Amino acid sequence: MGAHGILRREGYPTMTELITEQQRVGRAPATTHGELSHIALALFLEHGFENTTVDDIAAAAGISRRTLFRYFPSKNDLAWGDFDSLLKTMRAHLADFDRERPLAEVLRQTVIDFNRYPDHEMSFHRSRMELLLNVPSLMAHSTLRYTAWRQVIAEYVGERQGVSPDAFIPRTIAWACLGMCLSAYEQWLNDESADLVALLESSFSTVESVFGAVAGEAERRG
Amino acid sequence: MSLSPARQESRGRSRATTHGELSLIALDLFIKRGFDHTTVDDVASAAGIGRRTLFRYFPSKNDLLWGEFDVQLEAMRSRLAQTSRDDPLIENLRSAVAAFNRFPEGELPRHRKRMQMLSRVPSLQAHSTLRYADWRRVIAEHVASRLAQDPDDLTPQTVAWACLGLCLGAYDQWLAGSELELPDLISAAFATAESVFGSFAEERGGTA
Repeated sequence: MGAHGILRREGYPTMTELITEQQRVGRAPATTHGELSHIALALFLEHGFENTTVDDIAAAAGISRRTLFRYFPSKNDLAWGDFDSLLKTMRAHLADFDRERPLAEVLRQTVIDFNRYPDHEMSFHRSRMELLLNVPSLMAHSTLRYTAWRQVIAEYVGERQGVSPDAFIPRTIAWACLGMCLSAYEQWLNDESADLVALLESSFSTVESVFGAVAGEAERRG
Repeated sequence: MSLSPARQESRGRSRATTHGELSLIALDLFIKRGFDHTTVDDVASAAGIGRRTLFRYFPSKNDLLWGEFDVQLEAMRSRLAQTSRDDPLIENLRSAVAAFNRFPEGELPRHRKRMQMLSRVPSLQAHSTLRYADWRRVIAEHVASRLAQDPDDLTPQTVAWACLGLCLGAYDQWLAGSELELPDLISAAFATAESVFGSFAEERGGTA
């Protein structure tokens, strides 16, 4: 399955517009993370992912290879941007929700909040997603990223339900959310004019109505 | 691609059996030596056939691991085609997906190893995406026919992705050592989605 920014990533300079700063160790390194990822992505798009070396990126950024590896342990990670910080922010975002709000609503809102990008960044984001979804070596790496993303969801669901994140319901819900996100991303990449947030909204609505239909029909029959 | 049912019919039963046998021979080698350490030549020589003959049945090493997946997809397609339109769509999907993952007791240990490799071996991930897309296609086509839509439309695609997610979740749990059998885990995953996402739809409907 493709990979991507299921969510907003730290690799984007406008990340700070949406996300609170309290989780960050300091602003300068994060900015550098974002800049480095941007530089790398521009090279990937121009020369192809496989044809771009870590040395090319370090040279374009005017830093040494070793410094680059301090920020991103691999070339794959450069394509993803600072995903770990993003997950940390998502975790904090989830924790801030009122526990009385329905679980499905909190999950939908979180996914949407983390996928809002300013207009001027959308074409860039689209290119990145295309890369993450279509380059085989990135697709393999993405499995790990998806797992980390699902873990954040599963931890939240587990906490709400008083069970381990590894329990059946948290895991299942996390997988379902990932499926809904990937569905929206796929549709988005297939249609230049599509709106990502609208697609995510309808992904969740579709699942709510199709899976909700069982209870509804049973009621009507009874 | 592996043999389609049409080709099985035209060539007779023995070919299909061979197709199944080849994938079992391959799977056993993958389990014994590891996927990345087994070559197509290893499989061909273990099967006592030429490399070229093997490629007639399976276009790649990756496909050998997936075994009879295409045949199973056809079975799921016909099962879905036979479901009643009076039953809830999601119930038909649940039973078809559960049936798709019901394996004879004797095959389960091998299937477990296969799924472990599919979830863990990095070199398999990109190819899996394609196979999962074939699987989603069967679901999307059924949803589309029920709703008089195109399989590429948003609703069929989303439902197919959600079903895949639920299925992979069930596999996750199974591989982690769940006591439950795969079809039961899949049914439980659908029930979970119904209660979490479905009940939210009702709640909103009720307060609107």
